[in-house]
Amino acid sequence: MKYNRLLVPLCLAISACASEPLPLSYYLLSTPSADQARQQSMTERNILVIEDVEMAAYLRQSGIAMQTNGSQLQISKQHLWAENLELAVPKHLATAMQSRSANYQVYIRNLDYVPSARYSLRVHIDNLQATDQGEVVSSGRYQLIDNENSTRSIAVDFYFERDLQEDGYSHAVAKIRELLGDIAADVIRSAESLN
Amino acid sequence: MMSENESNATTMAKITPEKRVSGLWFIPLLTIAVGGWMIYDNWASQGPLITITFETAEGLEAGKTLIKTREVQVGLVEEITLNSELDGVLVSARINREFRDLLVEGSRFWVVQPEVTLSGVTGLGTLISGQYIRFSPEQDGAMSDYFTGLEQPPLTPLGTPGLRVTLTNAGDYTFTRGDRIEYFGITVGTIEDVEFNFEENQVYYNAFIQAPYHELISSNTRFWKASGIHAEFNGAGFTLDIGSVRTLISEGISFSIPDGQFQGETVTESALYYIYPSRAAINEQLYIYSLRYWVMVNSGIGGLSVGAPVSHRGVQIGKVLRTDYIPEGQTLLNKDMPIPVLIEINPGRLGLPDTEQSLQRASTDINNWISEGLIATIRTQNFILGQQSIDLAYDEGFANTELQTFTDLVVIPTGEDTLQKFADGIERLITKINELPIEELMADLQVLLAEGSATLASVQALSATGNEFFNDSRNAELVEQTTQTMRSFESLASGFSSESQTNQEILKLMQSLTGLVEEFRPLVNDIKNTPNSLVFPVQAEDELTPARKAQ
Repeated sequence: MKYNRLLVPLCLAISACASEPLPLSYYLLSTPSADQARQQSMTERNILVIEDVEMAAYLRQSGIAMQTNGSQLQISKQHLWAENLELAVPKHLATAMQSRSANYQVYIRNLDYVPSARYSLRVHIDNLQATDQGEVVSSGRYQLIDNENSTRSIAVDFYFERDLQEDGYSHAVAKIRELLGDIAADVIRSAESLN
Repeated sequence: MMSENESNATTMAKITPEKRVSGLWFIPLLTIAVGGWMIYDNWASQGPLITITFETAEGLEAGKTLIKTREVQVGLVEEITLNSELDGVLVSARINREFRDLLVEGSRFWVVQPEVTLSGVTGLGTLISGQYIRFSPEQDGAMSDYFTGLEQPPLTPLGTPGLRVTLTNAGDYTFTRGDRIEYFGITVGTIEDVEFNFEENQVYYNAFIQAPYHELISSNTRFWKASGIHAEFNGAGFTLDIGSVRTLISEGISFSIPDGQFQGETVTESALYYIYPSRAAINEQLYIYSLRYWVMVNSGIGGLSVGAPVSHRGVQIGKVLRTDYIPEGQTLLNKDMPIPVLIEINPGRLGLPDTEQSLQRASTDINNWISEGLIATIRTQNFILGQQSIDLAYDEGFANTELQTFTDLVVIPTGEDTLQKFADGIERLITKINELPIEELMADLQVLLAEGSATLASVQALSATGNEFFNDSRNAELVEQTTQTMRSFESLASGFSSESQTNQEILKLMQSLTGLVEEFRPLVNDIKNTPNSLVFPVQAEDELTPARKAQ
């Protein structure tokens, strides 16, 4: 009974020492756009399916990564991805490719019903972050497989960068979005070269 | 003032006699005179009234039906009555005065009405304008006012240049009015009418050949039936003769000169021609005189038809006339009864003139031939069609044969027929087959069969083993269980396929778990690095923020 009388003042003292929680910011990789709305027949020939997008381990976290020097990363505790990148990146790549070419229908394995596809795409992303040099960079590799003639399949190592014109995570996320657009455009070019 | 003399004078009235006829009477007189003149003029200007007889007045109407020639109105039907015998009608028609000179005896009248025949469609215009009477005037002759109308329109207008010929059948085919006469596919004439002569039991066709094609008709011209498709099977094989497309749907007659003959003399007056059954038939020369003989056949005569050729040394000298004669008092029930076949031999085919005098000479010679061994043999002309013919040849074995007669006709002895020779040939063939080394071949074949049997036995043993395995109840149960397991596995696998609901649920669960773990990762790291961070959080100012690129 004696201890119980001490417990309440102790908790009050400890809670008084606690500061306010950190303010959190969540960022969307894909922003909704009216341009995404379209209807297309699934019987057309050039179907491209994103089989898998594998992210580097540090990119699987919800915190937004930033490269602080040549070999150090910072995972933000305040600035977080609203959606897991391994889910968000394929969606954004699909939207970006679809908006860049009407010659292809892009589907995502495990999300869409995928008819017999002409091309299969596998991507692994090693880097997708802002740097302390005022840039955002992306690098990695993708394989584009021609399912009608596997000997024509290609593998591409990519590297893209863009300068940051503004400070802050919002601008950095917008630039990361543009980097994914660059990857999508490169994939479309590769597919065109196979035809 | 008046004088006395003057007053005493008597004034005399001037008396003028009154006119007895008033001048007003001139007007009615003038009217009567003008009216009378008009009546006279009308009477004097109207044309002659003619009478035309028809079987019926179908389509004719008094006061409306016109009479036309070359589509020009020349008259009008005024009255239609029945004749006194009630078997026809009398059509009274007024012909315009300016055409009265055309009413010549022999002029033709007929009713024009719509008509659809195989030759074409005519008179369609009368569906709108109404039927009318067509008038075809004759060129010369006495004037007439009574005409007999034609029940059918004439196929050839009067005055058409050409030639009329009479055709008659050489077969049992018939033609009808309007059938075409063609020359190398060109229609050059028609059959105008058909007559049947009851005394001769013969059909005659009056045909008209248009100019200038009538000049093709000569004394050597032959007409033949060119209707549709003419197919003929005979001993020489199969003959197919197809006329023009028009003749496929309607009858037709063609004419030409037989092969190897000259044009002949041009015919200017109506002449009689036969219509042959086919083009090939016109090349067969007609022979008037013939000698008849019997040939007694002991075998069957199935392939020997009427018209089958009778040949001597390969040259046809006659033909078969009859094969169905059964002598009186005999029946086919008598197995030994020979079947009499009547044949004719034409002296003309033997090279003699086709005259009556040649008959005697040919008869004498043929009788001599029979004495020297002439026999008749039935030969198969065509093995596919089975057609047979009669061949006359010499056989020394029949020399010095005494002439026999049957129904007053000489019988030509019958030799061994072709079928018997064929049977002999078959027998010789069988003999040769018997001489073949069949036994040696059979021995080799037996060895081959034995080896084949061993192979088959192995296959059967293997099959039996398989059957035994599957027939064993335990094995059957094993197979059944295996099948069920495979089905279960298949069902399970289908449940985990990429499109299955189970797979989708598992995927979502894994994503949720991954997200949860990722959410805890920073917390775990913080606790690991700074255990008091649960109470004292890391200061925000420690984090770097992306900055614009330095210019």
